[in-house]
Amino acid sequence: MSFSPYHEFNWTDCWFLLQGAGRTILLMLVAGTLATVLGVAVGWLRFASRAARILTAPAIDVLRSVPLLVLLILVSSVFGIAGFDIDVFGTAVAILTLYAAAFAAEVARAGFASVDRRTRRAARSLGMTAGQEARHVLLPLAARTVFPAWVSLMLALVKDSALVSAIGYVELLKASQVAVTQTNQPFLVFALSGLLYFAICYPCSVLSRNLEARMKHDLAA
Amino acid sequence: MISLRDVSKRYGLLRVLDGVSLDVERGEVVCLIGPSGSGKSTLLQCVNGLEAIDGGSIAVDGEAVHGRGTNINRLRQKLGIVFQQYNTFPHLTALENVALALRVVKRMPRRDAEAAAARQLAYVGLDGKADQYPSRLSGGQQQRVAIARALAMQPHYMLFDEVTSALDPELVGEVLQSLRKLRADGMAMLIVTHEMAFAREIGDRVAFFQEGKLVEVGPASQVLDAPRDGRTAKFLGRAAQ
Repeated sequence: MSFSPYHEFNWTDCWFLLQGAGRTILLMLVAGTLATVLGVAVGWLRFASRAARILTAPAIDVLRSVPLLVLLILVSSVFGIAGFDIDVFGTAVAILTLYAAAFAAEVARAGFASVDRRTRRAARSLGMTAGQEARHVLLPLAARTVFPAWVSLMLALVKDSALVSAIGYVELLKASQVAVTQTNQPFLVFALSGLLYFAICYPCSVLSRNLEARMKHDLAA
Repeated sequence: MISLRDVSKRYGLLRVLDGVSLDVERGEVVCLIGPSGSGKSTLLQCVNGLEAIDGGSIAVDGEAVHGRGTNINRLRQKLGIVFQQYNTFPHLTALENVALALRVVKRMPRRDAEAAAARQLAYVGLDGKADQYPSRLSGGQQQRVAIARALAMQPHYMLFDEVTSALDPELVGEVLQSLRKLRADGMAMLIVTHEMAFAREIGDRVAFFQEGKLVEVGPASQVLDAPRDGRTAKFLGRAAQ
């Protein structure tokens, strides 16, 4: 009987993949939330101020033009070489956040720009302060215009988060690679892993379609 | 009283308002007529501080609209304005359109705000449309929502900026009807309009405006039937054709 370094794919491997999926979801929730908050703030500044638009342009351009994988490896290597004891999850979240925020900022800016100035003026004419107008008129109208673009961004973030496996964070992709080295069943493992990515993204996309329909209820025929 | 003293405003080299002086008393209706692009709309937007002025002064009940210490948001509650393009809030129902500023600006509880909003919608004849979104309403209905929205703040003065110009002819009447009702209730109004017959009917005074200048102001019948200034006569002659 020859000795095999591999074992049959079993429930332990399956659990391992699920844990990876859980970390992928965690990354999406944390980085997605931070990127959205940061993106709306930066998008607002870029919408409202010419100076802010010019000052933030280089950062946005760099983040949107350099591949995420390059950013991840670059930053973790630089910190590593500089002798910092870096937390892999923290680094992954930070880079994903900045990367997605650069896109979110442009989505948000487009949303703010899409709101008719005359509608905003009408709100001010009723005695609303600039802040009240922003909260009750500008934000809701901008949000429903760019909601589909924002959902696409979040789904892209789930898939892009696979790249943080390159710096050693064991999310779904890394968990799959590990499982393959132990079972030598790449087809089965990656089929499962693909299924899990789908199981994360598809409900989000269905939920978003419902939300979108509800936000545009007034436009329905 | 709304009191304009020697108000001027420039867009670059263009003098949109050139030394305009005009008073609107409480309870009085003043109609502004004149060619398109003569600065009438700009004048209205200056009165509630949506536009800045370059010279002169505008006071509402003695408070300078463009004064440094003026709380413009509080002052604007005295000045309702209705625009040519309605500018209703598309994401809110007719009722919510009217109730929003009551809740946000006057800090009324939702229930009270909606009750007040319902009364205003009834006032402009839209009781049955409270739950409709603007996209489901005709132009005339949207414009009446906009009127109800402004009235809900219980302003002392109403400013109307060509409120029927964007409407299909058959919808003009229902909007003018709301203005007649307001006049009967004693609301002070400054109305920019191209409807000469309406200006004659509703205006205590009519002011003719051309190239940023107030050419002639007087009782409606005098300005419209026996204008003293040649430019007014010429404009009325063209408008009548």
